[in-house]
Amino acid sequence: MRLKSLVLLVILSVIAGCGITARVEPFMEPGSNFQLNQGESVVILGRKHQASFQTESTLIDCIASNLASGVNSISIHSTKSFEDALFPYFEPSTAPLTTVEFAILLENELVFREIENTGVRYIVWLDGSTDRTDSGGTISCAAGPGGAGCVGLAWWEDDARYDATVWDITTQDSAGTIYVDYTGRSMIPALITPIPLVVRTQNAACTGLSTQLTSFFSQY
Amino acid sequence: MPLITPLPYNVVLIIDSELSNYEHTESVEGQANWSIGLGNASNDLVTKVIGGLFNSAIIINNQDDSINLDGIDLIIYPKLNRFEFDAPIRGKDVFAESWLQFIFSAFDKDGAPLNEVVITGYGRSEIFRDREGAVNEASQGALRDAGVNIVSLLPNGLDLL
Repeated sequence: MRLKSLVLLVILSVIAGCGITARVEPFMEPGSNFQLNQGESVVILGRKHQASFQTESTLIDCIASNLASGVNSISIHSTKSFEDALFPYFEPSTAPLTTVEFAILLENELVFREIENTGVRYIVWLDGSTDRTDSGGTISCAAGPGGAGCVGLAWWEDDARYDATVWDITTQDSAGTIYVDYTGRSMIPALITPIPLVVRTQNAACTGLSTQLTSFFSQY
Repeated sequence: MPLITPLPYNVVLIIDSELSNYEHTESVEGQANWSIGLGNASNDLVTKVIGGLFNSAIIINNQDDSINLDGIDLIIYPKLNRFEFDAPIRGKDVFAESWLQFIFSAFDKDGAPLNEVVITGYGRSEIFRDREGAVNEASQGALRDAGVNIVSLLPNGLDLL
């Protein structure tokens, strides 16, 4: 009985150790109008840079997919076709790295006119990445004639930190920003069999950002 | 087509079979043999970028093709000179990387050589599960990067500015 309680206690404390800490800060510029007229759409772009971090394409695809589906779905323009139409301004060696650089790029008449041609009204500019911030623990496995098994505990912590800036092409200004920071701790406890308890931190950030962006656009 | 104002030159672009059928094969220790076809993508990239960079571009597939050169300012002959890639199996480096080098030779309409410009491109892609897909994506990225460098470096390298 005591052993059962002890095992249960260990399992509960391991499960309690897994989880996500979330911080979301949406900010809508006063007087911003997130209205999409007929034929207008939104494109999701991410920070690109070869020498340092770049926003993952999986996150961009995830947010685009979330915004394009559901009750309050909005019209999403393909990121790839947008980058093709505006080649070579959104390539890793040329893409703006900050919102200030982005504003300067929009002052280029050729770029601005081509964006208008695509029908894109809002650009959601994502800056950030998901990084492994910590990890530890060990799992030892052994096998013999009587069987095999593992003992131990391995864990890791991922931090998904992103800024999403929404640019209104008609005003050439920021309409709002959303900051999210999700920290997730995953574990693999092993008592004979390893049981992975994986927290999908980037997926959580995707859901958080998508929810906030949807609420921006669904107000009008 | 690149989104730029074309330069006021009429060019002939030679895309020969060496470029349009380019294939890189390599045996990497501890991995399967790799065969990466870059011909179609290189052909497409160079044709589109040069087509948008100049006032007009006539494409021929062989240096010996007969063509009326009236009004032609320049003949451009690109060659994919080198291609390298890396797709690590283990370690902390989880990126596939590709690097390539084009040599653009320019001639006047009488065939006299003018200049040679080296254009490079680099691309990388995170490896999740699909290593071949990551190498393919990195190679596409390298080609696009070369496209950016053609736009930004070729006119100056050929003394056209």
